[in-house]
Formats: sequence, C-alpha cells, structure tokens
Amino acid sequence: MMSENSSSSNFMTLQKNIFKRRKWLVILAFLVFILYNAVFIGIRLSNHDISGGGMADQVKYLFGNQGFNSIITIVGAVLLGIEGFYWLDSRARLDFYESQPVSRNAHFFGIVINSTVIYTVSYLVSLLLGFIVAGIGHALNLSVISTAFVAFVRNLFLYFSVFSFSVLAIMLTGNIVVAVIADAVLLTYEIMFDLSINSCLGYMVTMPNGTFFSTHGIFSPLSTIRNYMRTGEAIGHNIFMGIVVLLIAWLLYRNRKAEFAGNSVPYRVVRYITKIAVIFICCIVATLVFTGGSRYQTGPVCVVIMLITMIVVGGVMEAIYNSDVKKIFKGFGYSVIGCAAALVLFLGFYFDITGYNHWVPDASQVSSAYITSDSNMENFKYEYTKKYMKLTDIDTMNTLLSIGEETAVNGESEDCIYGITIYYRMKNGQIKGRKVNIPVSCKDSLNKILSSEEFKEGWFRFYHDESLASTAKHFTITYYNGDSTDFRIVSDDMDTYNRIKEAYIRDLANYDFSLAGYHVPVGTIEMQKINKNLTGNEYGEGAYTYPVYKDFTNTLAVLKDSGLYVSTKSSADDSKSIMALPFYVNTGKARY
Amino acid sequence: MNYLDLQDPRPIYEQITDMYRMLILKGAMKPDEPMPSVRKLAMELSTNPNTVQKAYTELEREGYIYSVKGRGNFVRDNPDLREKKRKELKDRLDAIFKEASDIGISREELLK
Amino acid sequence: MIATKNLTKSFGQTKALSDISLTVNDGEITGLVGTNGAGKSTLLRLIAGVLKPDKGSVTVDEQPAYDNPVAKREFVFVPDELYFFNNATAKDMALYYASMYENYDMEKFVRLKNAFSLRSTQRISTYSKGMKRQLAILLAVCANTKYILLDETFDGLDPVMRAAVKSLFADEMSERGLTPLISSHSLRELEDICDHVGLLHKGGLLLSESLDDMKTGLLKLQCVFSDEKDLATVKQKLDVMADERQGMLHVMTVKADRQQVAEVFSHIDTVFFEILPLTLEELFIAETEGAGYDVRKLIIQ
Repeated sequence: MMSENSSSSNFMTLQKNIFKRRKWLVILAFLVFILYNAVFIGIRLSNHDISGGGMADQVKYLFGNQGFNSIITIVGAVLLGIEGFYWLDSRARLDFYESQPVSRNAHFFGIVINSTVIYTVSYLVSLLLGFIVAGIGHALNLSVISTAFVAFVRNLFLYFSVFSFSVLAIMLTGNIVVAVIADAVLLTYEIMFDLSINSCLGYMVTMPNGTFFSTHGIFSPLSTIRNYMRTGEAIGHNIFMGIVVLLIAWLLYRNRKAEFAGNSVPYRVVRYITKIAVIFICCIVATLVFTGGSRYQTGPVCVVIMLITMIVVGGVMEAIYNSDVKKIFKGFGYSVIGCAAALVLFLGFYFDITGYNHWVPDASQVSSAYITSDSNMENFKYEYTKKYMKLTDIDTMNTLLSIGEETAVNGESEDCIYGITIYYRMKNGQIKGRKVNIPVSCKDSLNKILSSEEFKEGWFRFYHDESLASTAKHFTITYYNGDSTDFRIVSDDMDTYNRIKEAYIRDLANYDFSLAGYHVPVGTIEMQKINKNLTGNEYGEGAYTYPVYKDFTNTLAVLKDSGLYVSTKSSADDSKSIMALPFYVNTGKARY
Repeated sequence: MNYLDLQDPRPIYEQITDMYRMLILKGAMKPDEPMPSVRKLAMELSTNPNTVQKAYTELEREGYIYSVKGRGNFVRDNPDLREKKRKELKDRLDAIFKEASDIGISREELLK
Repeated sequence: MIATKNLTKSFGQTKALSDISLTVNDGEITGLVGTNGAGKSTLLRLIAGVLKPDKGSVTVDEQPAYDNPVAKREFVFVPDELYFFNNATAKDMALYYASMYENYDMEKFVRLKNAFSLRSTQRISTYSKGMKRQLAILLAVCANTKYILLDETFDGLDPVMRAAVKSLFADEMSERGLTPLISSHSLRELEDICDHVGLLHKGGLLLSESLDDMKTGLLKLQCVFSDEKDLATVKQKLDVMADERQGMLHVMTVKADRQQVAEVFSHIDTVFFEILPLTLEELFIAETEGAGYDVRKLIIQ
C-alpha cells in the first residue's frame, strides 16, 4: 500500500534538492549582486565628498537603469537557464533523474521557479544591503529607493525573457557550447541583423549622419534593452515574450526524447536555419571588419572575404553539430544559401540597386528644402534651421543635389565644399535628406541659394532670436579675433546686442557664396546665455556664433564702437578657424 | 555448508540437496534438528533464496525433512531413508556388475 | 509485476526493440541476457520510464512507466553509466535518495556501507569503478522499493563483491520480497541466481522462460553409436538442435525431456551414452542457432 505524498512537500523536497545541486550558482548570484549594489556603491560613496543631493542622484543611477544591474541580470539569466537544463545532454544524468519518482513537468517548472527565486532573492537582498550602505553615506532618499525598485521590476521582466530564451536555446540544442551560441543568436539576432544592414549602409555615401537601420527589436530581449536606452520606451513586453518562449520551450521539453542526449542539435530544422542565419550575418560583418565600409575598390575583395567566411564558419558549425571534425563539408548547400543571401544584400548596397545615392525628388512633391552642415552642428543650429529655413527654389536645390550626389559617389576632380546635407520637406510630411559634396563649379547655384533671404533667415539666428531675447536673464557677447588669439566680452548689454543685430542683418545683404566660400572672417561674434544651476554655479548655454567678414562694415563699426573689436594678429593662412566654416572652399589660399 | 563449489557443474539446488542428504543419512544431523532458514542459507551461499527453497521442497518431497509453518524446516526421523539409499546403491552396483559381465569381466576379476 | 506487451522502440532508423512481451514476477530474480546491442539497456530504460515506447506498453504493477511518479516509486534504476553529484560523498547521495524514496532506510544504509567498507566522508570521485557500482547498489537497496533494476551492474564487480551482493539480495528477498531485474552479458553469473531468464538478440526476444523449464526442456547428450545409421533414427524421433562430432563421439543438444530420450535410446545400441547438464551458455547458443543466428563468437564469458 502506498502512502500519498502531499504535493506541497514534494515541491519543497524538489526545490531543496535543486538548490543543493546549484549551490555554487546561488553563492555566485548573491556575491555578484552584493558586490555591485552594496560594496561597489559603498566604495563610490566613500570616494566622494558627501554633498547631499548630488550623491543621492549618483546612487540613484547606479541602482537604476544606468547601472550594472541589467548586465548582471542578463548574464545571470543565461547562466540559470542553461545550467538548469544542461543535464538533458548527458545520458548518465538523464537516466538518473528521469528514473526517479518526479514528473517531468514538476522537474521543469521546479527548475524555472528555483531559478527565479535565486535571481529575485539575491537581487533584493543586495538592494537592501545597498540601501543600508547608502543610508550610512547619507545618499538615501525615497527617490533612490523607488528608482531602485522600478529598475528591479524592469530587470525582473528582462530576466524572465532572457531566461526563457536560454531555456529554449538548450532545449533546441543540448550541448553547452552550442546552447550558448544559440542563446546568443536568439537574444541578439535583431541587433545582429541591424548590425549587418548598418555595416552595408557605409556604401550609401549620401546617407545623412545619424541615420541607422533598426528592426525595432520586438522579439529579442537585448534589443528591447537597446530601445529602452535609445528612446526610453517601456520593456513590459519582455514578460509577454518570456511567457510565450517559455511555453514553447516547455512544449519542446515534453517532446524531447531521452535518446537525444549527446546530440548537439537534435532538430534538423533548427540546425539548418541557424546555419543559414549565422553564416549570413558572419559574411556581412566580415566585410565590415576587413574593409571598414569604405566603398572604393572593395567590391571584389568583399566577395572573396564572404566566400572564405562561408567555408570557415560553415565548417566550424558542422564540426560542432556532428562532433566530428571530418564532417565539415556536410550540409554545404545551407552554407551556400546563407552566403548567397549575404552576397545579394551586399551587392545590392554596393551597386546601389535602389538608386539611393542618385535620388532626386520630383519638385511638385516637395514643399520646401533646407541645408545643414556637418561643421556647424553645434549650438542647436540644426533645430533652428529645420524650423526656419524654407527654401523654395527646388530646381536649383535639385541641381545642387544631383551634382553633389554624383561627386560624393564618384569622387571629385575640383575643389568642393564637404559635409553639406540637403533636406527636402515632402508634401506627404516626410523629410528626406542626402549628404553631398558640392564642387565649386556650382558657384552660380550656390550664390543663388546663399544670397536668398530664405537661406539667411534659416541660417543666422538673429532673425529669430526669441529664445535669447526673452529668456536670457544673463547673457554675454564675446568677440573673438580671426585666429582666436584674443577676445573681448561684455555682459547683459541688450543695447549693444540690438545694435549688433541690426548692423549684422544689414551687412548680410552682401552675403553669398563668393563671400563665404573664399573669405575667412576677420572675427567671430558669440552670444551666450548664462544660467545658474541648483548649487548656484554659473554655466554657459547655447553659444550662437556669427562670422564677421571684412566687408561687414556696419557690424565692425558697432563692434569698434562698443569696445568689443580686437584685430587679428596672424595672416589668413592660419587654418585654425577655417575648419568651422561650413561653406569655405579650402584652396590653401585664403584671404580676408 | 559454507560455500558452493564454483567448478561443480551440478545446479546449485542439487548441490544443496546432495549435501543435506549426505549429512542426514550419515547421521550428522539428528532427527528434529532445525535446518538453516532459507534466508540464512541463501545469504551464506550467496544464492537465490528461491533456489534454497526449491532444494528444501525437494528434500521434503523425498522425506528427508519436514516443515512447520512459521517455524522453519526440520530433519525428519525417517528410518526408511537409509534402507532406500542402500537399495539405490545396490541397484547401481548390480548395473556395474552387469556391464562388466557383458564385456566378459567376471566379478572376481572386477574386484581384484 | 512488471509487464511489457508488444513493446517496440526505434532510434531514428534503427529498431532497437521489436514486439517484446515479457513478464517479471514478484519475488523472483529475473535476468536479461543478450549480446551487445541486443537491446538490454533499452528495455531496462523503457521499464524505468526514461524512454517512451513507440508501440506497445510497459507497466509496473499495472501503472505505465513513462513519466509516471506513481510507477517510479516502486523501483530504483541502477544504469550502466552511473551518475553521482559533483564532490558528493556516500552520505550525500544517501540523503538525496532518502528525499526521493519515502521508505528509505538510513540505518540499513549505514550498516551496509560499513559492511562493504565504504567511508562516509570520502568523495565518490575517488572511488574505484567497482566501489562505485557497489555504492550504487547499496543506495538502491536501501530505498526499500519493490523492484531494483540493474543494467550490467554485476559485470563490473569482482567475485568477492558479487558474492556479497548476491547475499545482500538473498537477505532482501527473504525479508521483504525484493524483486531484482538484472541485465548482463555474463551468462555464468545469471545462471547461478536467476529464476527466470529473458534472451534478447538484435532487438527481439528469443525466449523468456524460467531457468528450470529451460534446462529440462533442453538436454545435452554425448554418445558413440554402435551403428552410425542409428543417428538418422535419433534425428527422426527427437528434435535435435545441434550435433557436434569429434571422431565417433557425438555431442548433441536435444529439445526433449529425459523420458523421451531414454525411450528413444533404449532401442539403440550405444558404445557410450551420457546425459549432461547444459550450461546457460550452451542453451543460449542452441536457442540462437535454432533461431538462425550464429552468435557463438559474440558470447562474452
């Protein structure tokens, strides 16, 4: 007669046994979390002067999402997931566990629960200790505690998702090495894919700065972290993914026959899909590594690199799959598929199949355009230009665009201005841009644009100085001479400011490409708001700069009048300030 | 009996029955003397208790021992056994003499 | 009772077991013999509920074995490749088994461990292979389960250990009715102690009989005929499974009982005639030869 075991005592017995056999993981989890949240933070606290609010903020970041806890979470989840189930690969261990009176379901979920407990408890304990340490260091307040807990919840979701993927990885494979590789792929494939595409984008020479391809990362947990870092969006769907993936892993587990033990990837479908995916990504990334995305004369080299990568990576994978070094050419067809896909993608970019680098819009579809320069991105000028520059001479813009693209793709045979990005506001609301190199033979078109009121209004911030005039309680006007060896400064002088502004706008009537392209300014005016931070220290914000040319007689008169003027000592050949001039043609022969 | 002869081709239970028949007939084991328990003998001989049980059953069938439920097996007081054995030996002897005479060896020559 | 019915198991393209129906009776020692690759381990692992049958069924006390804790409480499986926790001692493993099997007898374990000279505090990783097997057997026995499944466990023990384990089993069987199921490729071992033997070959069950029946059903006789023509008569009247000739001497394996043989030979003149007991090995060879296989070369002593 059998006595009935109560299911709760069975559960506790199972948990106890699982803890015992994972002793070292438990210790490691506690150690790492405590080392970070308590010890490390304690050390950081003791290295600084205790100054109230500032320290608490720092500590807040360390506990929170800018800190290390997410990294620990990811590594911990991978370890817990893979270590929890790697016994499936050993026949001896399988015989041992599966002949004992524990149901497979109980074993599976027992490991899942056990892993979660290890993670959660060690994290929380370390937080508690960390709070105590922070309290001792006078860096503890309610905001710190709440940030830490919000971060904990986020990390818990992340843990669950990464853990589930890791369990899935080992269910699909079995061999630890292959499982870790599979896990890495599952966790990051969206990032990897993005990386591959983005590495090809180097061939899109006219792509504006800061553009990158992103699959937006819905599925793989680490891309959700990346998204959070970039845009702060929530990662609550981690828990949804975690549940779905864990269920898939559980179904696989139910289906997983004991005789799979020792077989590094039992499911053939998985083997081949993984092989294609890994080879695809490796081939693309290999080209980036060897050529740095530089376009010229790298096409044939890249093809060769891809073929070599295909053979090497494919061979290594087959060796691992079959645990036999002699089998490296098995499944060669799949390697070819992966490499072919990479080649298609690569060559598509290399030969610009979509015509990206030669795009010119239909003028009737464009509402206005604007220009930005790489060399003048500071001072939030990009936002100002985007808001206020509305160029309507689309035909001229298109001329500049097409010649500029051509030059960027094929190289230049004459002097150019570089780093100009032309943006079009389309009638359908989209904004499209292309970065171009404009040769000086476009002088007429450039003059036309640069001398237009539309351009000046969007380029020089005197025209819309509301933000300075209305909000600056304190501001400085500084005049630097041409080689920045000297300057004069005046503060809070609204009268001088207005006079300069009025004179400068008048002088801009002479502004065009002939001026900006071939003359070096004799000096620079800089306007800067002065703010005070919470501790009473002053700092400058938003320096607006305006070049002053020799021909700007009105402006120079006001500067001299107000005592701001200082002359330039050295000759115009001194190239220090030339670099910051967006439309200057560097012929080596500068003149004022 | 403390061990089995591993070289002995006879099945184990036969070795057990032969041994105890010998002991009982010789008088080394007296009537109503207890036989070792099945468990004890099996452990001593490192053998299957079912084998020992089989041997005991056979000995009981042949009249050498009797069993008391709950108490074990005991040597039977059976004077017929000796006579039975004598007859068996005599039959064997007769068979040998016949075999000798068939090939022309007389009794006297045989016993030389 | 452990029973399999039409049990079939394949691994990919290979059929490991086909249509196996056998019974393991309570209170008996059942042996599973077979060559390497015959399917012994597979069968044991199916009974232990580690593998899932493709066709047919395997039950332990009428409970299906696979993924069924109710069935698994009734036995301990001692596989051919043993597993112990890292850095575990004998005591650690005993505690683990005690947590798994509710009737575990820790006192008995301590007693037996001392009797077999295994030290509590010594790491199992330092044990010899034989000691590991011994420990595995002790751990299993002390769980006090109805059945104990041993996969080639005896094969790794020296004669002294073997005798000790057999005595242990004798004790357990008498005291509480333990039912051991043992697989081996050592026929001599099984012959000594099994009540019932199953003979596996290439995934099929060639026979499953009590040893007594096997031995009385088959006889070996050595004879020299006066007239060689009588051989034909013998072959006609008896089921002769094998006949080896060494000059005039015939060594025949015959499927018949003693009476039948006596009957037939009473009418035949022989210069020499003797009935010999068959060893299990000879039975094995005769049966497999009779089934059409020549496995003589594959037998391991």
